[in-house]
Amino acid sequence: MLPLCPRKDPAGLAALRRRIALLERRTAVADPAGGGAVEAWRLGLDALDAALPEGGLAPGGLHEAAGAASGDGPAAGAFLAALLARLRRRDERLAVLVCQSRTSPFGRLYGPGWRDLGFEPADLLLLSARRDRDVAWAMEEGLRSASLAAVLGEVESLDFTLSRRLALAARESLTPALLLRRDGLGPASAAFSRWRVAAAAGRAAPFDDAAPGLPCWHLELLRCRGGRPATCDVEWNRETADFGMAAALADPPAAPRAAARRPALAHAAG
Amino acid sequence: MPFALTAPGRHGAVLAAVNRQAEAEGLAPGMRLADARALLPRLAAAEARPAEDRRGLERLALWCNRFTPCCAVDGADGLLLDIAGADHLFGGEAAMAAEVEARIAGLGFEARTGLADTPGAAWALARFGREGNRIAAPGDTAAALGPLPVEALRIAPEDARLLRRLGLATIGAVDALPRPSLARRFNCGEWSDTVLERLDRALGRRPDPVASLPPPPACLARLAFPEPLIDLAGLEAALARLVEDLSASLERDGLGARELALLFCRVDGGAAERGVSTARATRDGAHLRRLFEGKIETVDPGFGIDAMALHAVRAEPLAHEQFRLAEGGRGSNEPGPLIDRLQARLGEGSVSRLAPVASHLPERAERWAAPGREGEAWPVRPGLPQRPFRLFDRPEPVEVIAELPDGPPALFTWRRLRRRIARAEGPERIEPEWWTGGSGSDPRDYYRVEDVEGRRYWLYRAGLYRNAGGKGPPRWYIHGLYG
Repeated sequence: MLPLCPRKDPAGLAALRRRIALLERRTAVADPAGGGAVEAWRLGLDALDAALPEGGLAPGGLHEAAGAASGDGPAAGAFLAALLARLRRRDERLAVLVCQSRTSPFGRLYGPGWRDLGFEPADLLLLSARRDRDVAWAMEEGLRSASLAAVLGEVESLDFTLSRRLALAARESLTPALLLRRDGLGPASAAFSRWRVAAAAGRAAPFDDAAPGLPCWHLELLRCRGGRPATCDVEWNRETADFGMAAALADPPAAPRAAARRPALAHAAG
Repeated sequence: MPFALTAPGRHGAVLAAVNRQAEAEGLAPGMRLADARALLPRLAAAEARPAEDRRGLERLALWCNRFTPCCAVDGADGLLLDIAGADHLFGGEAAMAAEVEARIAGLGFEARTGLADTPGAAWALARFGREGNRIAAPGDTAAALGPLPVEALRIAPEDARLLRRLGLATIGAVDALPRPSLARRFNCGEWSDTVLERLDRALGRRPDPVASLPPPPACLARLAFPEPLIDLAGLEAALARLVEDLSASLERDGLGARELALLFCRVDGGAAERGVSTARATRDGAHLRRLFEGKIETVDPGFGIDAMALHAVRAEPLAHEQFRLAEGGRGSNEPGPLIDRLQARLGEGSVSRLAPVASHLPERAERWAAPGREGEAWPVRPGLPQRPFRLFDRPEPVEVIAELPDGPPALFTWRRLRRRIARAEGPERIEPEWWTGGSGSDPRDYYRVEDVEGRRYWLYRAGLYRNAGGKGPPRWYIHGLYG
């Protein structure tokens, strides 16, 4: 192949990129059965998709998320669930395996809440295991079976070897693996992308100024193979299953209406 | 060396069992140990342990799976083997009985076999039949039982004594009596224990349900080895053969296995059993083999395993086109094999699906269903407040500062952190379900709140300030977290 000048030949450059991705089996790998290529998994938000290679998350990859602080774990979990809800719209396979250890400080997964996030709970297969190692094993089995739309797991922490195993299994089966780490993001991991998620104050509900509106997260893409780090405040709209840019500046934080009225305060001990 | 086992009796220890030498010296079960010692000072005695005997007998019953898949413990000292359809494998009934006796003798036990059309007749022949005369030909039960004593009918000892006092010493004599008079005289106690009933059961005139005999497996494969196997590789190869045979016979019958049992018979009389179950009927050999992964290692081969059997304990019809549902390429929509593997390793019930329950109480609104079936669709509930993404099984108490009497919380402390609330929605009142007996608990007012950092919680107040009564002020709890 001739040396090529990116400025003069953008099409050639894109072809070359695709070729490298194919060599690395990162994205757009032709289906082994001879079907169409597996597309990248778009978030539907230009600010994020532009930072990701091929304009989306790799379907055959391990994606890790953790809360920025200890209280942000549920936000990170909900972000992963939102990713699943987006994936759900394009995958014909129904079941998503969710693995969690029995003792999670965030409580257990709740079906009606998943439905309210935009994900049909009947499509979930729930696995409860006692140890993180079992969770990792079950996730790997789920990935290798290639019968699932995605695999989601929650662990306290995971060492590099296990994350590498998961990443390999995800790459071979082209099944996305999502991992929620409760201990924050450790030093080393074989994940394709790593996200740090924090809850962010969002807008009020459209018809009630005092009520919380759409969930809002501050996302940091710390690392992504073939992509670049990015930061973004997003809102999740469960009805359309879309991420939207959070209009943080569009309206100021809700003025504490209650304080203005000086109510009688009662203190109740739990 | 004369030896006896003793059991505690009303007036000191009583002999429970004696060995041949002791028997030759005139000892018998039922004698008191003191009397026996007086007769035979060098008698060695030990306490009988019936529970361990029972366990040993159960192990032996499992080991007898090498002869037939239907084996059960019968009473305190017997095994019951249903050999219908199995005797030709051993060269006929007489050869099979001899083989059973020889094999059990090889383990160091003494056994007698009786063989007849009914369990009752076989029981009688094994215990009271004469040497060489313990096999009743099909349809010939009455003739074979005729000369046996009445005790062979498994009746109460007092009934047997009464029969003997009436001059009826053999089963043949009892059978020759007119039935109405027999029924009139011996009609006390349980119906199944009456003389007439026992007689009819033994002679096959009435069905003799044997509760302890397991139902025969839907399909099975067995393998006996000329040389006992000790190493894991050999056992795995044997398992592969068994699975192949079993799936072939399942396919022939149009069945798929739901529950499997793998049996190991050891040379020394030990036996082991390992079971797995599947979420959907399957006969895929590779899949079945993988389910037993990690299970064979846990079996102690002892001095070697010389027979193995694989039983499809429970099977369901499985159409032919569903064959090969294990992992193909992308797009095999069937998570069944995966569920089986996960459950085989992490335990039954570790995988489940969420199913909706029509209840207003949040903790009752879902249930964990078996994963095999298709998930039930969740109803849409337009207009209802959003539910949390995570729920605490046990709501955690929080300290709340809120407007009186029923304003939303303004500040709360949970897990030692104080959180200032920026937005709140509520209350959503959920009353206890009186029809489920929960009318004694307090109504709950739920609030969906967001703190200044954007984290969202689901808080509720149990009870009302207005009519707290003697219960004290209402308490606040956190019940869930939103993402």
